[in-house]
Amino acid sequence: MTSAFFLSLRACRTVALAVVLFLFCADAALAHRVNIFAWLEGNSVAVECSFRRKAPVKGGVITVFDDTGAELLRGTTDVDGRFSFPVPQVVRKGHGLRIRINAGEGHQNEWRMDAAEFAGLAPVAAAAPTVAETPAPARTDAQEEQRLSLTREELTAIIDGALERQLAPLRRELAARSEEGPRLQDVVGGLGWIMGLVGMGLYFARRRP
Amino acid sequence: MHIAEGVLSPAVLGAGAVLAVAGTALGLRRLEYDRLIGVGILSAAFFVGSLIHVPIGPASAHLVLNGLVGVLLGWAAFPSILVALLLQALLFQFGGITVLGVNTFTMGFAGVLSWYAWRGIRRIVPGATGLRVAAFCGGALGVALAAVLTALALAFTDEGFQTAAGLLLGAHAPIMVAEGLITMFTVSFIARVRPEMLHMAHADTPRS
Repeated sequence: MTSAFFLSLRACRTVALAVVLFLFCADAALAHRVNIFAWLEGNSVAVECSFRRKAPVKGGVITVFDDTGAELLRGTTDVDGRFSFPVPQVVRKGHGLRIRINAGEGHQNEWRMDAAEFAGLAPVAAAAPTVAETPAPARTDAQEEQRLSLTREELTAIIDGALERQLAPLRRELAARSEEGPRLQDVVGGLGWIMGLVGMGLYFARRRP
Repeated sequence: MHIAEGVLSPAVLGAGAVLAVAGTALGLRRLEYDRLIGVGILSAAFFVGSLIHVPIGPASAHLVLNGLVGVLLGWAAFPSILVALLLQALLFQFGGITVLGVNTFTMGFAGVLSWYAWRGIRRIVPGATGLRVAAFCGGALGVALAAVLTALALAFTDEGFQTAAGLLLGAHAPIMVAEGLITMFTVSFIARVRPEMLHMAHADTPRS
């Protein structure tokens, strides 16, 4: 019994060492799962995929589905793990989107965009795909000097452009949040669970004659 | 090495679950009271090991440690790895609950096979050198076999067996060396300070 006790002491030290080691190389020690984050950018949907921070999914296969599970389109991510596609027509019929990343080797994850996220899209926006994020404000600024009244579409474009600039940092923050790996409390909690299970196992094995 | 949710077909998931239950039952039947703590400790090592990335090679993969668990525990590697994988799925979102069976089988069975390899090499090459060589091979083989078994599970997906096996083995080549060394040092350390622990896995052969 004492030998088992010393053995467990030594092992506790080893595990503690492993935890300390993990803390020291916390940057290199993040999750090994694939993260996906998608958002609406003007009239297109941008998708960003990574294994962990600074480790983008290069050449991962993106598949987009609608609410009924029908496949809408397919594409691959670039070297920065990004992919963007124009908003499909079905979302105007009240569909949401399900975006799946398959990074190979059994790594897969999904991101859901509800129909409500597309509610802000102007119904005619699809007809005028030139309403992009960056060139739009410059063009409308020039027009503003010529005449005072703006059409509804131009106003929408200005507001969209400004909002996009304001929201970009927030989106990046959210994306970074979704890329966070396991936290210390998860690790400690898991080790506690294992110790508890061993304790239970010992207790029940002991009662057996 | 952890396959995510939604990749595999229900048939593969079911087969994996059945095999994992069988392996775990075998492991629990051979598990003795004295080894329970060891199983827990190695479960903890496996659980934490997946957080340590080895930043060498094309893709920085993480440690698996199933070879080490297998060499030290034999069939008892199954319950040990099952518990660790369950906690990784719940707390880290590595793998998933429905794929738990497949992941347990690929990593657990690879561990058991590396245990057999370890025993075989020790029988052929006796002495301290044999112990080191056998431990290194056991640790490296655990990762390699897990990669092959994982690729086998992915054989029925779009990716196919060959592509998956090539990618997995390529990404895990540095891990194989690292785990071979880790297993070698751990086993020779245990052989020095607590040699009876290494013979525990042998003890269950004449038992039944």
